[in-house]
Amino acid sequence: MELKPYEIIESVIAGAKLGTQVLDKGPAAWAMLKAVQPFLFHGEHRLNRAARFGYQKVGSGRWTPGELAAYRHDCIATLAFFQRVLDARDGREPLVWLGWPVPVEVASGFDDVAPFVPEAFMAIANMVGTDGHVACLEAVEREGIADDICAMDRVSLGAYLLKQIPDPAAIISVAHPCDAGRTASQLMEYISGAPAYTINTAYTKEDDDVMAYSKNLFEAIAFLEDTLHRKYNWEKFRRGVRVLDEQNRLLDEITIMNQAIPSAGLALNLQTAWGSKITGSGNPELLESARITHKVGQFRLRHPRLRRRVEKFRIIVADMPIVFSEMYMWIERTFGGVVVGDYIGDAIFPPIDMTSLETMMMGVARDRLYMGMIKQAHGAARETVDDLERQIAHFSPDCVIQNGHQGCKHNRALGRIVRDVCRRHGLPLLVMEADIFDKRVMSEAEVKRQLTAFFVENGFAS
Amino acid sequence: MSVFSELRRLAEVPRNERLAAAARAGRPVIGHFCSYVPEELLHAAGAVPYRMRAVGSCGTALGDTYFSSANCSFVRRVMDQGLRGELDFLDGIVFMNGCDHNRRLYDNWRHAAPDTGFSYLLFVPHAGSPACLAQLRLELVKLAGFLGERLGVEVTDDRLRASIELYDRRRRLLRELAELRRAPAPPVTGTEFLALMLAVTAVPPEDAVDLIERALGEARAGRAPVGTPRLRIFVTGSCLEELSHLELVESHGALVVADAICLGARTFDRDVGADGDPLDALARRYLGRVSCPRMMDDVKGRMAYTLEAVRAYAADAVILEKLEFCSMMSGENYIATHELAKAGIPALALTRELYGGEVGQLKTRLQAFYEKLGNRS
Repeated sequence: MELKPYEIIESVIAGAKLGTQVLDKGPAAWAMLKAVQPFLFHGEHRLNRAARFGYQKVGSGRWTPGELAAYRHDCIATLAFFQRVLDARDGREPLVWLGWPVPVEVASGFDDVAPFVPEAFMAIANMVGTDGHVACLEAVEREGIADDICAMDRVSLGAYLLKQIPDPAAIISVAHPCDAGRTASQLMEYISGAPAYTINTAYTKEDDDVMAYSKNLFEAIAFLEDTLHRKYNWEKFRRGVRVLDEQNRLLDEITIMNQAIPSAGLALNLQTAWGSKITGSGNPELLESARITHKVGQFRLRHPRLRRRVEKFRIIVADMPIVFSEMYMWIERTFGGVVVGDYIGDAIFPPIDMTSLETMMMGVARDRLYMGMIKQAHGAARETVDDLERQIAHFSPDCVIQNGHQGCKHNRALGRIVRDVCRRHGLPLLVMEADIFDKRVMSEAEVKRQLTAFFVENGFAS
Repeated sequence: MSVFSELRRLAEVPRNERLAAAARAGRPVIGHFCSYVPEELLHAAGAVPYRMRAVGSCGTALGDTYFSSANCSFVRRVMDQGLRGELDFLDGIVFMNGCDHNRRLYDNWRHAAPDTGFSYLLFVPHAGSPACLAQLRLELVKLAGFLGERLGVEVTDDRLRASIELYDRRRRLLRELAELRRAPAPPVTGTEFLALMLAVTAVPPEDAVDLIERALGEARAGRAPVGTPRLRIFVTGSCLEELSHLELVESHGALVVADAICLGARTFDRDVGADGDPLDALARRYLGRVSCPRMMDDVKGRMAYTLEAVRAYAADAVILEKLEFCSMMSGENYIATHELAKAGIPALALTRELYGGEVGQLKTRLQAFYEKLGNRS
């Protein structure tokens, strides 16, 4: 696949604009998405390649009007974020790259600095079809960089090599959660030549560690002030953190709603909120999205019969979900299996102490330590295993699925421990050898085949 | 018998009589991974620090029950040894977040609980900023407290200073020996130097100092095992402990004259020093010495070190060593290849499995590379 410069970001902007307009139509949008379901649901082909990813992002025709109304706000935030990136490309303001676990507040607190997260390409590269990821990966392979680095990081790197990402004025890297991230950050810094500061994140969630992490965040802001010759707006930071805290409270409750039997069925929505938060933490649009989703959840808990018809068995995805093609809605529609908890969307955040800038910065640091993927991947395995144990205890799953992400060395090293946890709880476990971004490792059809076999063998489907 | 023969013997076995004697004398033997673990702290707590290695490993069959095929062969082999009871001479292990594979080795070790005493995970920051220095100091305080409690010996400043002095002496001696390799006909081969490093990190440091002094004495007496080499090689990489692999690299008239590997320059670069607070000094030394790719803010420093060492040791070429599935070396080798090309220095990147064989393939690549170099001159 040949990509024109900035084609992916431009497609995201066009898609977000379209999404905002369509989702504004309320129940008509819901009916429209139902109507196009036969064309877009089952698989990608030449004619639906460009549209299918956007369709999957809005629930593959399975979301209710309430969920669609919530997602409209995510579209608005996405549009603003990526439009600003293109404006920065055109010289309107400096662009700062942030490693994805870096709190975006480090850059978004400036009035005239555009933040960007290169790893966002993991989630948006298939805006041009699933070949979008492959195009980025192949660009890295052509450059001679080994393919044992996680595909997520290679997608970002490839996007830069293919001129899908504007040059940075500065880079804030982060030492976590994994080797691939550390490697890709160094490669990005080397290839772009931009000045960089590395944040060393906490290894545990203890106060001493979080305090040290927050000191790194202050140092990063000072580095940007010096490098970009701009002043940080602490009042803007305060406003953003208040929004974040309120959004977290809602996300916590939505996560808990998924524990009900039948669940509120909002795992995909939480996954979306995870992605939106990486780029847009503190954006009031995301708070509005969370408020509406919360109402959807409340409604479902008040009317359990509606969900009981949908939910035949419950699943925990004990690893990252497949990203190149969305599977939750396919599982739900095909088998009546509902993902109630996963590695990404599980959103349990501690409240933020608003008494001072220091406590707020510690709150932001802690927020990122509790974010999906970071909370499990940093530090020792007990972070992952305790989390899985907690999910099993709280979400009452019938089975567990681990996609097995090829580049994720630390997670691949936990197979035995995860298996022993599942065995102890008497839960069937499916471990796939897929790569969540690279369909060349295992295609959508093969992923579906393995899921089907697992559900049938364990009596969840016939 | 030449001390180099004794060093080779010590390097080729996982345990040795010097360790056993120390253990009999009541000194606990504590394994540790990675050159970022301050051995001084372990020593100050009364222990004999033992650098973990996969020497003597017979495969990965049991290790593979914990690790996937996408994990590196070093951790799979060490796990295997642990599960087979081959490391039961250890009284504890200090693991480190050197890389994801190593970090998870700690987790799997705890889960499997082989008979090797306690398991402790030391977190070392991935950058050298002031905040990171403070963070490492905090981690060292935690480790010192843990060791004091487990081993019953309080790590006082005085004990720590004495250990620092001993280890600084070991580092100085190693640097002196390394310096001799600048000569046109170096007195030590790369394989011998690696054997020495394996040996002196597997015996009490007091014995190590004695062994290195003897090696220095022999080297200074005019020993030149291979004469003037046709090609002088600088080796960089991470985990490299297979003597047979370096022998292969040194075949066909080549000689390894310097390195930037974990069991090499990274271990003996820069002293801790006797000034000021010993924990501050340890934090400064370990975050300030020649780094490895786990350190995110020092790519330029590492490249400058390589270029300077190539010049200082008159190396003709660089071999970039990488274990399969080591993401960090994948990135590092890309950068190094570009920087070396800019400087006009020939480089060869080799990917291998630890004790993985593949001798034929590696030999072919090395021969082709050396022939290319030979034809250039």
